Amino acid sequence: MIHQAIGRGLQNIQTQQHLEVRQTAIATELADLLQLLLPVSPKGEIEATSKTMVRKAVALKKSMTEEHALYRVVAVECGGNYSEELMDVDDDMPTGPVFICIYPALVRTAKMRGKSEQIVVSKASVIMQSALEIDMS
Amino acid sequence: MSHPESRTQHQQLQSHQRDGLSQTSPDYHPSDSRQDHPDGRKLEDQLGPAIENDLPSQQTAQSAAQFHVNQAQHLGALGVQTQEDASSFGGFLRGLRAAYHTFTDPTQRALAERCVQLGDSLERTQSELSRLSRDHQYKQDLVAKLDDQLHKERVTVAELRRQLGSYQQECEGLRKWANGIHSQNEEFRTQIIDLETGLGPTLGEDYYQSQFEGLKRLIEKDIVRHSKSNSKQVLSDEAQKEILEVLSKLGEDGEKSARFFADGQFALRVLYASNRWRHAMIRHIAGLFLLAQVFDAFAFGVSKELSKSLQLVEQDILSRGTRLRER
Repeated sequence: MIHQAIGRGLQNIQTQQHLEVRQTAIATELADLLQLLLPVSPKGEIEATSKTMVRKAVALKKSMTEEHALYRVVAVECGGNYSEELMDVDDDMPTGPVFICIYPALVRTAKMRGKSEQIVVSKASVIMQSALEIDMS
Repeated sequence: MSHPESRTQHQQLQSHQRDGLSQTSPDYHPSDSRQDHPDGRKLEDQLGPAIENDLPSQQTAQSAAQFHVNQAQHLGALGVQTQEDASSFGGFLRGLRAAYHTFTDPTQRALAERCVQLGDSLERTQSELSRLSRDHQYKQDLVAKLDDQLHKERVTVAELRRQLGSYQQECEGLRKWANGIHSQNEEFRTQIIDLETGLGPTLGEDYYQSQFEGLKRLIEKDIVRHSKSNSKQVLSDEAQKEILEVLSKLGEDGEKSARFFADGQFALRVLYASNRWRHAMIRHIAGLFLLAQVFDAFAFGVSKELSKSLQLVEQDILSRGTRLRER
């Protein structure tokens, strides 16, 4: 409720114009970054893709800010330990540390028996280092 | 204790005493006139002084003793039933006690001695009886009084019990009513807060899950599509450097990734050469970017400093609130 009240208060004082400017700037930054990684792809397509991604992400973030429950996006560190509760992996028998997190996890903070607990709403997608070694060999 | 019957017996006793004096003790001549006192003076008054006054003469004393023995026989025949009789009998005994040692005849003396002993015993018994009677009467009165008091107290207790039961029922009813009012009040409070602030759950967990995974699918689809079209590309050193620089500015997670992909077998350039790892690496970078620029902030559009401060405030309030609730 505290998070919701503060979040709504903040969104009330932010102007729509300011949010749109900020959203455009981020989309441009993402497009620039992706252009470095995908030099052959047309700039217009990259920009459109970036814009869609940022728009969807901002809409989701806005909903989370106004929500009663606490949602948090959590990234998994490269080289970190595997956790079945938090991570989703293609391998049947995942071994070794995490190689790369290709998409973060979404967790919800809930109060249970007076303690804060993290409930995983969507698991992070990861690739294990073992898969990389097999592939590289 | 002056009973008509006992008075009659007393008069009979006086009559017998007078008869005794005249019949059984002809030698006895009282020196004063109290013996014939018209108001029936007690035997003690009649005999006591006569015995004491006549003691100088042994003959007179023996006559007096004989008289007392006779009187004792009369009294034994009549029985001593009243206090007045007992009192007279006491005087008689005193006289006998004073004179019985003067008897010369051993039988008479033994008889007189025995009579004195019995008289003493009787006096003690009568005295004890009188005391016990008074005590008994006092205690009976006390018991009656206490019985009466007990009855009154029992009536009072019964009434108080009835009142207590009534109050307990009333109290239970009020407690239920108060609990109902309390619950209703809490409900109203919650409704008022919700109406005023519009706070409360807005969207379900399923919504967030589907939106978040939708974004994941979008990134995956677009990145893989573009990545495939860049399969023949080689990542230049400058491009790698620039990408790592951007990564290092994407918060703590970005810094770690930048270090991880900087060189060695996991260097960006190495991974970029493989289709599979290129897709994964670009998706990783896009995910990190959105996390740092959109999701990590307290609210979208606020500065990093303000976002950090608000997150700290929120954590502080939450932790204090938890402690208060635990108490």
